[in-house]
Amino acid sequence: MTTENETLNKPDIPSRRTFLSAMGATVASLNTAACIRKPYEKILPFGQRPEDRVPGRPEYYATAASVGASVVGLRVRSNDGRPTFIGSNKQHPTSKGGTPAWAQATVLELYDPDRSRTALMDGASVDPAGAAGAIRAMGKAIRDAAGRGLAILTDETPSPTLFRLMKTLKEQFPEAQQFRHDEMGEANGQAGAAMAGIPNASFSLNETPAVIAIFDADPMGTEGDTCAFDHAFASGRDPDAPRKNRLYVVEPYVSLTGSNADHRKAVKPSEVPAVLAALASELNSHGYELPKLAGADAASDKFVKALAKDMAKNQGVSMVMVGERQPPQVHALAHMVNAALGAYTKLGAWTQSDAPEFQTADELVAGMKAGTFKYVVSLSGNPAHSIPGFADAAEKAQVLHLGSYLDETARIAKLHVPKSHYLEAWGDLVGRDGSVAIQQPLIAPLHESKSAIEVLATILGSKESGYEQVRDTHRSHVASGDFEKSWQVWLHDGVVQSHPVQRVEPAIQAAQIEGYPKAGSSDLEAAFIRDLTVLDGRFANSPWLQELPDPVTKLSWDNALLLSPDTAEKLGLKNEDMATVTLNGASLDLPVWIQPGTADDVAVLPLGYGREGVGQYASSGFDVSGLRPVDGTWSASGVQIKKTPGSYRLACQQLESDQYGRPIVREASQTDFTADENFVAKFEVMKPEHIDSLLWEEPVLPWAKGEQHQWAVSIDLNKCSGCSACVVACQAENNIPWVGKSEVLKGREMHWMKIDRYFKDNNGQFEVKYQPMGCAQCETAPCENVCPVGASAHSPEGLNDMAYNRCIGTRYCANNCPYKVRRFNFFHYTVRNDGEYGMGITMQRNPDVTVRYRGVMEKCTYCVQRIQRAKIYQKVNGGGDTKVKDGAIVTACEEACGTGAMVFGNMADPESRVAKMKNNPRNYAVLAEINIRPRTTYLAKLTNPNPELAEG
Amino acid sequence: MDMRSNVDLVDRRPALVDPHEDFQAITKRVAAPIEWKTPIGWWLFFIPSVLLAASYGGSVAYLVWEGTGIWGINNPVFWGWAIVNFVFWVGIGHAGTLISAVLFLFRQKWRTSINRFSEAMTLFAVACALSFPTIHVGRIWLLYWVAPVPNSMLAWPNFRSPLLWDVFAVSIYGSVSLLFWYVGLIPDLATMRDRVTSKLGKFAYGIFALGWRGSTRHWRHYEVAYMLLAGLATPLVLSVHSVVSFDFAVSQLPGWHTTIFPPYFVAGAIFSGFGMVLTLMLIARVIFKMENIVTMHHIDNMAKVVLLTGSIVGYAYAMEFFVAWYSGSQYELFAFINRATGPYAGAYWTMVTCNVVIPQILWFQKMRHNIVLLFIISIFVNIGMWFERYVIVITLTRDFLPSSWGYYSPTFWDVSCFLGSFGLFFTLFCLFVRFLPMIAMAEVKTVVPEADPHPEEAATGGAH
Repeated sequence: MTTENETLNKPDIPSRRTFLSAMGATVASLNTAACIRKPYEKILPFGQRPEDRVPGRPEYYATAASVGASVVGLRVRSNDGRPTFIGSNKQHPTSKGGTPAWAQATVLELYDPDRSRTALMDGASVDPAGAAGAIRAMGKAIRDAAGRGLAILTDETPSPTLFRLMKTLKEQFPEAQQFRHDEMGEANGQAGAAMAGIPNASFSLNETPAVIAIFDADPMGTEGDTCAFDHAFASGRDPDAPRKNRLYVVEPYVSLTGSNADHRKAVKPSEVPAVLAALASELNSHGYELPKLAGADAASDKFVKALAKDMAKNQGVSMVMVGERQPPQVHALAHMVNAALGAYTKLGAWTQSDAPEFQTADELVAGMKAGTFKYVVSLSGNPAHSIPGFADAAEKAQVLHLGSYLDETARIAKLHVPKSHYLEAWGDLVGRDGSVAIQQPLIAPLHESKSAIEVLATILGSKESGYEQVRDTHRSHVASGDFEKSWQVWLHDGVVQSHPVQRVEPAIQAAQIEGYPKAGSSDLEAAFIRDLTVLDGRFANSPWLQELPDPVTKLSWDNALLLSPDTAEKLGLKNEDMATVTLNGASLDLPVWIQPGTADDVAVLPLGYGREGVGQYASSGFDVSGLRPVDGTWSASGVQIKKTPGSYRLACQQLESDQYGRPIVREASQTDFTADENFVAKFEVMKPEHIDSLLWEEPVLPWAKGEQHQWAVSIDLNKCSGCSACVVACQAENNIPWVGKSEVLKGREMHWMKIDRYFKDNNGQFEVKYQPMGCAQCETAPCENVCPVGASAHSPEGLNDMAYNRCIGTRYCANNCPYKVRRFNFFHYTVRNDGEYGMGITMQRNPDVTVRYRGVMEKCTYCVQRIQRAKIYQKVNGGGDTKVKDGAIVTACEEACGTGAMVFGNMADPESRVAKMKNNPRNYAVLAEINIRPRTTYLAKLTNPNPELAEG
Repeated sequence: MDMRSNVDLVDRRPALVDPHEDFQAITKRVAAPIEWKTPIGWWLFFIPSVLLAASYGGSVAYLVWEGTGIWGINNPVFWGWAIVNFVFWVGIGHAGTLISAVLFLFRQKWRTSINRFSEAMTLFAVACALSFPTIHVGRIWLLYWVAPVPNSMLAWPNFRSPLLWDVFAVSIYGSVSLLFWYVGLIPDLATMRDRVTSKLGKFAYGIFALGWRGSTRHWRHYEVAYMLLAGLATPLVLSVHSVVSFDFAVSQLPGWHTTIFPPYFVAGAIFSGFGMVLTLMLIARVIFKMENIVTMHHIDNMAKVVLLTGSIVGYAYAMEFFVAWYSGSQYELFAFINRATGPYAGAYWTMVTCNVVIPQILWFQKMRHNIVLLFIISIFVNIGMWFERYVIVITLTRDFLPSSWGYYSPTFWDVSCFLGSFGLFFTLFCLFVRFLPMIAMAEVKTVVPEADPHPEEAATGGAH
């Protein structure tokens, strides 16, 4: 008896090809002893050059990537057909020319050798045609049942084409059901918005609020359009900004946003709602009509009162944001507060989403358990790991899994199909503001993979080409004129100009909110957080992101139980002790890391680590997801923590967090800066006139001598959020190897650029300071004169050149570097990487940058390869003018930075941005007193504390 | 009167060798260890030494194969035990030249009993020392680039680099020391040539004796050459360790960038050199029954030098602190306070105890004449001086920016290279005491009473 359950077993074109290939293999194996037949391949010589292809010259293509509903516009570099660097697309409205660290790392993800390569049917590999046949057969079988028994599970990827196909599916298979689950999504936010009367819509911030109050959210790190938020935030930090901003953060752990706060209040997760309720209550006394919730006044304190006053004073330009870790009711209250403050009319816009209706993961699992679904098509993610109960319920259904790795879901799937990387497949992404970007592939799929669009199209029995599907979606948006022409423009710009955007005016009523969370318990609480580098674990198999230190904790290759110093002391725990965390009957042993600034009695548990069987790097760390409540909430009370014997070494990349009173990160409040613009000079250890030598006449500096090019960098500490995207960008651009945990433990990480972070106790308030640090290309560089073979030498353009070929590895230069930014190849890390990563890493490498050998010193070059390319271009195209224009050279770190914190340029040109920044009164050089004259200087940080709270 | 009194009749000082030794007795006594049938005891020293030296070779082979990462070095401590050991051995190598050249020029006749021995020690220490900067580079196969070899790229070494000065200073020191030692050996090699009975021995000693016949002309040339070499070697005593100290002093790191380093290093080097000479000599004079030649007088003098140089080193330690405070530089002051109170304070106080506190015992003559105690003190000096270099190198853990601070701990391979270098040292030493006269016979004979052509003048108190 043939049942529908077996249809997946029967691909409709198995016979001839499979038979022939099987026969061929048999025959070939009989003949191998005699000879090997070479495969028949067509060779296409470059005798006739493909259009625009110049050997050695990279090409750039606009595309886009997404995590959750956050879209990042990209301009990806391709060298000889290989994507090698993820650049930013300045035109993209929800990323504003920035790229998060994860986006930078996707270029390596493409080449990950652990990606699944072939489709698997019951664990045995099948060819692509066989897989497609199986999917089509399933589609046919379901069509007859009007889609009954079919569940489609997807994440929050905001693809218009996917949305269109989903709607088509709903039309053609009316009984089919669609579900959505995304660990990086915003289910609570959506539910909260729906409660407040704005369902299925998203808010995009266009300009900086004057007062930003964040409640357990991390819009700089792991939530929403981080680049757009950073951009808006940075625009309000400049002393000349038309609207200066002030950031208040209420949160249980130190998020990236919290680390940038002017005022920060650490409370337990369960107390956050009460603080917001207290704010709403306080605002009532400033004339706003907001619900007074029970227990609100109890949570009111000086912080809340000052915040309410500040917000009321900035009516219309102050805003509250609540994070995904909080329940929907809190979001709803925030929407009411914002509506009352008038934030939504001035600061941004609400856009209606095209997304079809989705059900939740809980409903899917319930349906699976009840046997409602015969087929579960998982188009993204790893539900067997991320949805509690999915794996058990999957026994009653056949799972079709589209995924990049042979993960937990792939192992229980009837059919696993490798998922195409976004650099391999056509797609489209709509941002929170309604802007659409075409996801343009740069390379043919490396493996036998399919995109979600292709799989969905196959189920529908439609055209399989993702290219045609995407074009079909947007064809209708060209009302008149030539579609092809518009299409070309969209591909070029990376943004679809004519896509219709539906703005909505939120109609929010100040109503009583049902079930608003009560104030917290006195227990120890757990806070599950998204990791700042590997996010929910989807990037856990990236050695770059594993090695990238968490901007706040500086831990790499691991997560840890983060505790406040007092809580750790109470529990008798210290750094690197092992502790058993018990919650909901599950328990896990993991190491402890003390993070100042964490709320007391909170156990912070970063997700995304310790996943076995996914890949060679993803297993690093500890999988805390097993402790999480089954309903998927982000915090829970009743945690028990017990010290366990043993310890575990954590690879922290910065062991010291205090500045020891040294003038390294210089800062002042906006008020103090207005009072004394030259405040940085007060920090100087030696007066400039004392530094000049009495022994010799100071040489005329190159930029004063009329040299054409004198390279320099200026870093505005006001604009750096510490996100560390630049570190990964540098790694991608400059072929920097990763070294692995054991080497990081020894202090041998190779990052040419690091983000130094210092903690500060400002009258009891915990503060974090970030400072990007790379080779400063000192004018009188201490590294140069000590090299016995002259491998480090000064270029006429002011660069501190490193001749790798000449280096014999005495390491004297690195000892003598006061910033300690030189990196040594203690082992042959490049070859070690090759061994781990295979050909993938060689494909990613930038052909313009030398790969360094063991025993050689290396360091930041200011991306000298980009400088040289720009100079050559200028010489060829400049019509005799060889002076490179300002902004023509963008270093990798600068390109990744969406806030413009880092500016590279020619300081011999007084009109250049960098020269102007060097004339800014906030400009200072770190360690100027030792007369090294660094080319990289900093603009001092300005904080903007509320005078009412600043007094302590 | 009895010529064999305990007082040297020439300058009325206590006799430099036992008065009962005559020319023949000295020759016999010094040549004895070479002429013995190889004693079991020698093998007991030699075999472990060779094994240790072989382990050094194995460690170095693995190092070259795998990379300097097998050591504990990291960022910020890019130099670890390799450089510590280098400076340690160079320091030990200082006693030889000081004794043979400087004391020779100052007509310190007591040097004759110990100069050959300490020069040999110098050479072997310099050999060990040179091995470390050689193996510590990342790409050892390109090390010849530090030599000014003409090449088609017109790429020359960087003459501004203290490391390059090091290359010249240590290699010149090594070659001059070798030459000096060899020239001094020639008359004794001829003696051995005439004494040995084996054909091979006669041939080998004969080759190296350069046809020495002991004629007046030979002696005259010999003494002029020796005097000239002593003159050449003397500045080297000061220069080598000054240059080694430049490796640190010329850098701009807090705790390294100090002008006191050159004199402080030289004093420390003599201190450690004499410490090592004492360690070795105290053993050798007992084993080879040389108490009559290396008398308590010699031992006492060496102990005094140890006391003096140890105190100079102690003064330098104190002065570093003063200057760090006086400089007004917070980095400098922090570096020194950190040395004494930071994570590596143990190393610092070990250094102070061994180098400054313990040698103060030597103010008392009774202590200076206690062989066992002296031996123990000399071991402490060796330990202390190793720690001094360790403390200096470990200053790298905390420099300007706290963000880059780190820790350093040695690995198995750091230890194996260090211990292995002792294997190399003792192997060479065992071969030396077995095959070469460990005491300069010809020179010692010049200080015995019989060498005085006019004993009666001394007896009657007449002047020369």
